[in-house]
Amino acid sequence: MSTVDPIAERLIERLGGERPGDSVDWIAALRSRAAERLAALGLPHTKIEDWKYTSLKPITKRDFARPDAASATADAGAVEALRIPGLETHRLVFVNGHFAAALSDRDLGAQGLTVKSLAAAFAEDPEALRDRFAALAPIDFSGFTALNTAYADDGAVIRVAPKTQVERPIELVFLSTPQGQPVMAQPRVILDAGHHSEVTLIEHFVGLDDAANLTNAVTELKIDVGAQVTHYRLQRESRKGFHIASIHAEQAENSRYASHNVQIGGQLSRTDINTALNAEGADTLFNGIYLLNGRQHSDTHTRINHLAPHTYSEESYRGILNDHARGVFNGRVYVAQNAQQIQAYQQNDNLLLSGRAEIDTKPELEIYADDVVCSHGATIGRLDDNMLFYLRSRGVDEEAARGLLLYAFAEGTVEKMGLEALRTWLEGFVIDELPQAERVREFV
Amino acid sequence: MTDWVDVAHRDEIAHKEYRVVDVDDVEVVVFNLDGEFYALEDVCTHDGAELSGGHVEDECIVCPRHGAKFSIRSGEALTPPAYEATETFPVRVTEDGTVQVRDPRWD
Ligand code: FES
Repeated sequence: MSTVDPIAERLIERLGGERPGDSVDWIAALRSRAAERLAALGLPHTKIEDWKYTSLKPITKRDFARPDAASATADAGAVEALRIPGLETHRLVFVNGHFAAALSDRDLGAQGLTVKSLAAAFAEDPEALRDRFAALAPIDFSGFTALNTAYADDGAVIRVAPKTQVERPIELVFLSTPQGQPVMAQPRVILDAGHHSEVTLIEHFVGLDDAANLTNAVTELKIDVGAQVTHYRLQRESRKGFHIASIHAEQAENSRYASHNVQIGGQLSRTDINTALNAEGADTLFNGIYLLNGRQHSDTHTRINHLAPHTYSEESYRGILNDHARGVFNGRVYVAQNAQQIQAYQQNDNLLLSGRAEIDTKPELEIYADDVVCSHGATIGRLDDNMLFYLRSRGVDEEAARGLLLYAFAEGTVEKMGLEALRTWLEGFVIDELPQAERVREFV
Repeated sequence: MTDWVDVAHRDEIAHKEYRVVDVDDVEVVVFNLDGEFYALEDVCTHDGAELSGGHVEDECIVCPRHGAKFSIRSGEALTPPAYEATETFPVRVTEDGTVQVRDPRWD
């Protein structure tokens, strides 16, 4: 008899119940396999190497409830205020994991593009998802992926036809709002980019009114030959909220995946971003930043798997940590034996603004091919005294000079983002997170 | 100001023993040394192990993972592989003998 993890057992008890797609045999079977997996795995804990710096006790001690579909509403004005100025998107809004049609754009598709809620996709054409749902995010990945596969209430299914250039980005806004008791929202996103297509996906997580909920998100991206997917992820959960996410991409020949990951919110967050470069010419950019203060804890694990020759990856993560904040960065690059002549570059730079802030950073290179170019580096530092001196000698006072240097450091991440409107909007948030926000605004 | 959190009655924690409590999502180990109570964060500054599970030696807690010793009174790291102190917290005993601890860092 297999043993059931007690934490998993409690989750299964609380989150069970009917869900869209249950009447379809293969979906029901997959869900029950996922629940069984969860029962066996439990949630990760610090004795697992990959989770050793991130204790999930604050999550496991809370009894998150299943969010209620009927209360999937939010103030339309507040939702409107979250629009990115100057950026036209196809926008879907979710409240605590449930699709909120009334808050979303009415007309979601375009030529060569279909966008549906997961519930609608299950209802209208479940067969189309048979080989896709959980194909890239295995239920074995962690207890959280099993949990999401078993209990996702809703999400989005996006298909881009071959050779289609989708002009407007697809924007998924995931709102976390208080609902009596803390709830667990579990959105599932599935994107298929047909060969030689181009699409931009924005996943925007926002906590409203100090919501103390947990978001457990899973995103699967299948990127076909020559396709280009640009993926922005903005994590702005409330300071009382929790955020767990895993992103799983598979890349075909000559495809490009650019992931821009901004982490600002949440008291405790963990994000896993994985891509597999499966064929020649596949190219990946992982660009990210975490801005942490107070007692925030944020853990980022990335994995880039070079599984074919002539593949290319570039990764750059930056962190600014203040107060008692704690960051974890683990960047794994795997190069298979046959993956000759690949290039992989990784860099993780951190600024600690307080003696009590902490970062654990670790590159992990596993290289089995012999003709490769790989580099990695990690820095943990304070602001550069020479630069401070230089600015001060130009008449900038100390506080403003510090702020400007921090801003310039963060800008190194933001400037890699292609969408200008988003970049400008984001710069505002970045400045807000800096201790010298007011002073920086005088200059930029 | 954050609230005091009950740990146990004074008589329930014997000399050189400890209890772990959750103080607003921070795990705290509360020790009794000769009737005086001290509190440390349940984290080893070497590599993040939980200190609870370790044993008390003289006035130190020994990290169960690689054996670093921390002063129970001051939180200081006394032996490698840990070099930095772990966080300490104020403890009080109420009139009825309840041991309480508080995390004042966010006041
Ligand atoms: S983790 Fe405590 S001594 Fe290494």
